[in-house]
Amino acid sequence: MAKLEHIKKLIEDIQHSEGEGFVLNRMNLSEEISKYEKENAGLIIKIITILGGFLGSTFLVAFISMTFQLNKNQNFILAFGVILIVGAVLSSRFSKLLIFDTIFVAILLWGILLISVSSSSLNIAARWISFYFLLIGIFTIVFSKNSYQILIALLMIAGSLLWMIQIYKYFWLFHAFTIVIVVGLVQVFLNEATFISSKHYFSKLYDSLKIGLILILLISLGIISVKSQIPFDVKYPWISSLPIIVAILLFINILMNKLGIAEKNTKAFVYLVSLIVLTLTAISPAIIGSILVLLFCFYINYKTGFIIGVISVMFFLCMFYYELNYSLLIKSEMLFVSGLIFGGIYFLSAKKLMTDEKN
Amino acid sequence: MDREDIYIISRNSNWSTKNVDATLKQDVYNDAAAWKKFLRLFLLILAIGFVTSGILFFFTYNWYGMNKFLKIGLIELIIIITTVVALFSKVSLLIKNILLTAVSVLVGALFAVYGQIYQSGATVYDFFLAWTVFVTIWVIITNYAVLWAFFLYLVNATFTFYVQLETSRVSEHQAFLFVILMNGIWLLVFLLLSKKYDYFKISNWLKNSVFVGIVAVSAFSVWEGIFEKFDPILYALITCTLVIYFLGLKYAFANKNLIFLSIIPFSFIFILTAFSMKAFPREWVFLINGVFVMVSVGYLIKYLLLIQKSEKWQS
Repeated sequence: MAKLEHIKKLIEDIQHSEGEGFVLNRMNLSEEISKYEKENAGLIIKIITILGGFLGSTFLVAFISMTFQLNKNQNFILAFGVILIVGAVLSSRFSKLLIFDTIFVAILLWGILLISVSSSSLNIAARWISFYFLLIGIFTIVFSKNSYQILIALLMIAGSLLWMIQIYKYFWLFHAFTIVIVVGLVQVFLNEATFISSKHYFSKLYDSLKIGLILILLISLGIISVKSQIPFDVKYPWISSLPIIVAILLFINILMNKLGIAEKNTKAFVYLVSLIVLTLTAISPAIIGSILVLLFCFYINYKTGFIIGVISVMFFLCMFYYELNYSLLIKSEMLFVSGLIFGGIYFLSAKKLMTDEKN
Repeated sequence: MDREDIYIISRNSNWSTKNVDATLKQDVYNDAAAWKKFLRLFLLILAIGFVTSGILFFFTYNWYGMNKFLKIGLIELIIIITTVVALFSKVSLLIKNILLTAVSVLVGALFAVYGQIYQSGATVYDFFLAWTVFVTIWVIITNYAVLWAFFLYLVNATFTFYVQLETSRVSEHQAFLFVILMNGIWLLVFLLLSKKYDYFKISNWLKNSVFVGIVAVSAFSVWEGIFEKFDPILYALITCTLVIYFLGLKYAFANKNLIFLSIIPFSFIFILTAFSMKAFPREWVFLINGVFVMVSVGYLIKYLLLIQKSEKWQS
């Protein structure tokens, strides 16, 4: 009950600063705290829960498919997949235990997998499958209360939209897609307070939205940047870099306020250097996209996202140089010069970044 | 006030957005000092990383026009200069460690160029062996966790390439057994000696990831061994796995390590399902296994949550 005491104390402080208008729903609060105390698990326990849920539900799905010999008719598998999805989403609303939460997530994934396997062997046209996936995603978002299921639904919706772009060959729509995602990301990361204090749906959606938008941005930019692996023929990929560059420049302004940089010359210089570096990177939207993720996640101190950002920056940098159509000598010169540029920026900014730290 | 507190209170009250925002910015978000540290490190890693990979690309490039002596001499010069800077300059320990990590990567480039020039006919295994041997001293001197991780990677890679070369001499299960033993003994030495000598205190992430790796390899190799054609090595593998799990659990209770305490039972449950399927190859075993996994993992989590909250583990 340490948490309850802790929160009571915090609430007193808040009451002090908020004044008379402050209203608290004590019933819900203590209920939520006791649920939190019961289920607040470290990362490793979450991972074990997920692995256990998957292993267990895999055995069950295998048992049902074998007992009813579903593999004899693809239509049965399709129907079974639909039943699993609807069942998993609706039952997740009543789940009271952590392990059941993950089992329903695993069953949802199994349903999606069975539907995709059976519909590809039934030769259903891709435009229909992508449309079905969009519907499944929307259904899950509307009815599920499980944040992992909502995350899967977000990824499904984004994935099916991208798939539709590819099927109908409206590749220019990809840039519109990026703009929407970047605007969403800016809203979610810079207005956390607005989201969580809103009384309706968004406050519950917030965590899934945060990680979901990061993944969607990185995956979609990865698709157009890593060309050798995926046939996704987007013309002028640098157009997708523009909204990201705007977002980073906006963010640099916030950052300079935070670091107490007020002199106009310094500000102009920082903008100039950032703009040059970003423009040079604009040919690979994935790289600046992952830098945006990295900066945003460090800003709000979101560790999972930060690690994803670090890994994706490294991955996309490697892929970029791997796919670059120059000889190794030119590549090595480019790398070397970039290294010197960053070293130069480091030494220029080192003084600024060092001296104030002791305060 | 952490993020979860703010969320819980905000959800159940009419706390104004403006004040929520202020609290988040003050208590949760990274402050100016953290940003400065991050930016410094970010720029430094980018600079060193790009320069190192630039040099690496430079030498991997088939550069016929250059004298052999110059090629090798240049890399050696870079290695020596970097090492001297790392050893004698007054930069911080972290930078020294990062420099020596870069040097260790460059040693690989040196051997690659050497092999290319003299057509030494070296296999991948020879190359990795030489690389491993010649970075050992830096690894031991710096005792830097990242470098240790790199070293363990090199050792395991060397061994894997050796096994692929000598498939007739080493069976798959022997290879698994050796990998488990090798990494296990390394970890055991460090954990045992850490009580007496400060040198052997390794950072948590390295310890945990090595152990997770060992458990994962042991679980999958036992699982595979159960279903494949019988090999007497399987007994050794199972014994070794059990010993490691026992020691791991003992360590977990003594040192309050929740990661060890969670993955060992889970891996054990995983292996048990393999045994049951081997013993009764029927459909209903899948049902039994499914229920068994859900119930046992459910109880495991309940137990872990209890332990996590108990006062002994809190302190």
